[in-house]
Amino acid sequence: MKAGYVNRILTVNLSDNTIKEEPIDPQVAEKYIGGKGYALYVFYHRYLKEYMAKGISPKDIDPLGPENVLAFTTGPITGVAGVPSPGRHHVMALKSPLTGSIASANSGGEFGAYMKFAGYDMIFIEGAAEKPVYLEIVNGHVEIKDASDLWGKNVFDTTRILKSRVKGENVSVACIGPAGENLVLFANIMNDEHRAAGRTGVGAIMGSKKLKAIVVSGNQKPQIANPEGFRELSKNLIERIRKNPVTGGGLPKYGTSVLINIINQAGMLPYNNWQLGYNPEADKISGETLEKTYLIKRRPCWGCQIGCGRVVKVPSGPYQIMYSEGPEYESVWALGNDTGVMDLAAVIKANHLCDELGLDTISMGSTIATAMELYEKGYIPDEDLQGMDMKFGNAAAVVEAVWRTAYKAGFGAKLALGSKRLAEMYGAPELSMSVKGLEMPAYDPRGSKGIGLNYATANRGGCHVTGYTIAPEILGLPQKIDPLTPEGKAQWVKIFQDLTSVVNSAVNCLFATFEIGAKDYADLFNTIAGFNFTDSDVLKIGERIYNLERYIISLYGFSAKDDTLPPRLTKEPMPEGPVKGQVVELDQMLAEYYELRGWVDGVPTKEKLKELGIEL
Amino acid sequence: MVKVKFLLFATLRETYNTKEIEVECDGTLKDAVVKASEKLGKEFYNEIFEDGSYRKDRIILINGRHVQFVTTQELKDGDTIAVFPPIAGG
Repeated sequence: MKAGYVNRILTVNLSDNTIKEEPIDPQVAEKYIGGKGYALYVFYHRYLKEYMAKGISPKDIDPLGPENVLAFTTGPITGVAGVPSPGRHHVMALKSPLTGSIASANSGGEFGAYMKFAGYDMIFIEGAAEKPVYLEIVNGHVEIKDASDLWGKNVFDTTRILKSRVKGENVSVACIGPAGENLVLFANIMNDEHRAAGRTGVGAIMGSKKLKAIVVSGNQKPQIANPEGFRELSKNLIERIRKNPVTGGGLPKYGTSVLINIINQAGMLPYNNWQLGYNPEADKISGETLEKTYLIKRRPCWGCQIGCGRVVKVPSGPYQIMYSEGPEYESVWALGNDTGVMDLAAVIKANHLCDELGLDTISMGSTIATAMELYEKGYIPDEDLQGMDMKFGNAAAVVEAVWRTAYKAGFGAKLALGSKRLAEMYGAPELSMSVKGLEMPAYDPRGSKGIGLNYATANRGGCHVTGYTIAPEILGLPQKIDPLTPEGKAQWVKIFQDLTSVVNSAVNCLFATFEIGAKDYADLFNTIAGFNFTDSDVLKIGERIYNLERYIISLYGFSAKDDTLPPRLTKEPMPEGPVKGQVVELDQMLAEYYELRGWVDGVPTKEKLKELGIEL
Repeated sequence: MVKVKFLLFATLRETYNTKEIEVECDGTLKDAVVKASEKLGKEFYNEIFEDGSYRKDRIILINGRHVQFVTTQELKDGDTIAVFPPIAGG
């Protein structure tokens, strides 16, 4: 592979300190591109197959044990200036400690681009160190270094210290905070201080390997296979991105929290742990309000033409913070609306703490909200809370709960388990608003049935970005479909899931897809990396990646029985508001979806795997 | 005559310098928009309609339902019409 990719994969074993390199395998790249897809291929062929051959069942892999494998991945179009939104990277691991399913998370900032400039398309981490270490990668030179003086430090200190140690260009740090060190089940990996590979507990996996950080630096820019062709294509794509009212208008101006009001007006912004879907005060924490109060400026990720990132400042008061980034829509919703907290400054503070300590904001907020409902309904005795007043709307409790969780202090030790285990522990499992143990994001599917099908069938658990049907169902992109009907949703979910798999393998930013599609990705792969794909090739690759991922989780024991939604969404009609009376007709949509997918009992059939060219 | 309320969001709040406006109309969306344009300015009509039908690049919710899927053409007293320009997030 001479172009796009930098053509080196790094594998580091922290148990025996071996460092290995290999080139990209062109046959694997042809079928799986890079990023998530390539990592899944390696996961199955190099690790899971080997484990099975040694008599280790994939069901028995301990997500926090040395047999788990953590991967930081990019693809052929990452780090190429002129590609729409080219800075992101995708983090994968064999298994998540939160869900037991595949661990998968995507992040922005600079790390993805700078990792490639440092010389590697992908980094696989095997085993576990005895004492804390960090990885230093400078222009292809790799060292495992002692991190005992960094262990315990927050994300910002860790990042700044490591950046100051590395003399070089394009320095970026990905690290865990105290939450990952303490194995909080939804701990994340932060990069460039405020960007997050957020979900499925990838930070806990990194912490279990005693890997505190990876610092990269370099100036090895990727080659382009067809520079003339790419230049033309880039001009065209960037103009489209700029002209698109979403990527060139709404997103840069308001950031993602502009969604608060529309999702609320549509009656599906989960409020007080999903008990309601409409909150008359939601405007207090909206993107419009953020823009008028605490927003300082926007911050793009590396090379991005959209620039949806936020920089904020709360100048005074108990939640004062002189510099922070975000909060994103999901974070505002989880730490704010879901917990009933309408104090935007407090939400910013809680979000900042999640960044500082390394916690997924969605799981954090949703777990607090579950605790609040458990407490208000009498499931949690006062003494367990050690003085915390865990009630909806209590801003101070939310902020306190974040640091308590990171340090497993007092009630924080229970919050650190995530909402599923928390609710089970207190005898009310139905109050965890999660799928496969991953807390669902900011859209109640009783108001948008397709996203409900996606939540149930996303391989990593309750996830929206896996197949973001909110785009057609609520936002009218690429066209408007009726959110309240379950009819015809299966095909939308499938196609979005397949295309998103490509985006996560390219690796690219999902927001680019508000304008660009499969044909554009084919053109990008072809001009940059010398492939010869059509748009249907690209979608087929996406389908292949999605099915391989589903096959892998079936080895962990996942099947149709796990493609569910909490009973609140399928059995309790929305009590009030614009979608009053609605439930999610999941069974109906699932039947159609499995048929379309060619799955039986939620698992790809042998014929389907063969048809997609997935060799086992 | 029925009293209905328009709610404006994102850039529309800046364009029209308000978050909401109440109007009295004959019960049709068209008349409600005409009445609102009398207060907000002629351009407001073009904010909603283009060539006689709803603009495709506007999200218009009547009591939370997308206008394209609202079965009755009649507005009731107290109805809310929420208007959004093209927006997105994650």
